[in-house]
Amino acid sequence: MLTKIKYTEEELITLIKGGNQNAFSYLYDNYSKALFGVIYNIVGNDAEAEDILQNVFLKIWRNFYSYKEEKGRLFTWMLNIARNSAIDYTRSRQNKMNLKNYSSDNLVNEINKVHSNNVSYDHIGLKKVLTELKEDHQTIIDLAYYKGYTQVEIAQKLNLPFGTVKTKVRQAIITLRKKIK
Amino acid sequence: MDINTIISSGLLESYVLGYSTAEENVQVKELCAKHPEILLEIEAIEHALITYASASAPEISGAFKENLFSQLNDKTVQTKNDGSVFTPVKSVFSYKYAIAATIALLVVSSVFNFLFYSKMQKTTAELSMLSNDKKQYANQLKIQESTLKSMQEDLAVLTDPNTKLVKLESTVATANSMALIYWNSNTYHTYISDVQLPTPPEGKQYQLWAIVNGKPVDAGVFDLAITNGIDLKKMKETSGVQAFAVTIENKGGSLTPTLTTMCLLGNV
Repeated sequence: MLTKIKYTEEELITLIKGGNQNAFSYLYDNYSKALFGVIYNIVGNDAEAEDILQNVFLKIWRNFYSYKEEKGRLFTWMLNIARNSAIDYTRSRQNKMNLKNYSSDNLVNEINKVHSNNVSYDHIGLKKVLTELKEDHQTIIDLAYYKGYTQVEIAQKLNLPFGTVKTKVRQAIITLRKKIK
Repeated sequence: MDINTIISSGLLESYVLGYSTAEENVQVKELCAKHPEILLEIEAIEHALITYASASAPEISGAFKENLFSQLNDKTVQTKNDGSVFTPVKSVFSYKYAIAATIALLVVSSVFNFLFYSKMQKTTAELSMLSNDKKQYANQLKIQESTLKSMQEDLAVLTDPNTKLVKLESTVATANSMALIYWNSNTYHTYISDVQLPTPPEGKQYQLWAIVNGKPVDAGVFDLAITNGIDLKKMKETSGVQAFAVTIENKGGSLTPTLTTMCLLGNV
């Protein structure tokens, strides 16, 4: 199933729209880990995250015809599917279990807990990167990336002026980019 | 707008994270086409985010990808909007049920075949019975028709104003023998009826005579059996008759009457 061929994003989109499973395999190899990370950070459980990941890739495959390049990046489109599926799952699970009422602050704490306690990073370099990220940067990335918070919501949540949120998100990602390089 | 201003505005981060508006998305797409630096910036942001999320992901199970790809062509697994998967209930109508249903139908069909065959045989028998009945009724009708016809003819004779009734009486005072003659003076038709005579001796037969101008004219022989009730026995035609007489003659009749055997006589 693994393929050595490298596709450009345009080629990949055209081939998958035509039902090419090799191209979809390439897509899986390049994005599954990231999408799994997003889902895992939201639900906090390996097995549940895998179930959701499977549904997400089936949705991607079956609804690929509805992806429009002019509306955004392919990764962004897939990220939205993964994030929405995981958030919906978490909400229905919380409703079912009738656990303590998760406030938004609790969600942020949950994310931090997942990061600090449960996550096993796959290479030491990255572990270093992530631990070196300033906590406010990490919080801001996590809110924007995993929780689907808009800048207005982040501003309210972190009690920051609206104008600075955009800059903070950018600064956090720039820090991340520098660490990765 | 200056490219660096755009890059530093945070719009591209929002674009990759999925929070930019539809108008902003169109704007970014247009900028990418004009300025390759912007596309490179977007790709760098995307790469950082992918790496960041990948780094925090646990190992995915070994058979996960294989299992996923086996489901790509499986239309029975539907994805719902909430992301959960449900498999439709498998059709319970297996071959076993199909065979059972076929056998049941065969049995029912056989029962009906038997019932219909029995009914058909019964119907055929009834039909042939009815057909026989019809033939009998047709025969009876023919008999009735011929009887009616002869009765209508008799009635026509009796009601004809030219028909005269002549009662023949015994020539012997003590005997109560008699016969009736219907004679039409116009058509000369002659009938005998209501004959009351003793059975003639062996080899003998009664013979009717018409007396015309004092001379006897043969009007034919008759047997007793056929002359009862309204039934009229047609005799030979006679004209200018003054009287009728009956004698006993040898079988087949005589040319001249034997006067000694005359038993009935009546004047017209």
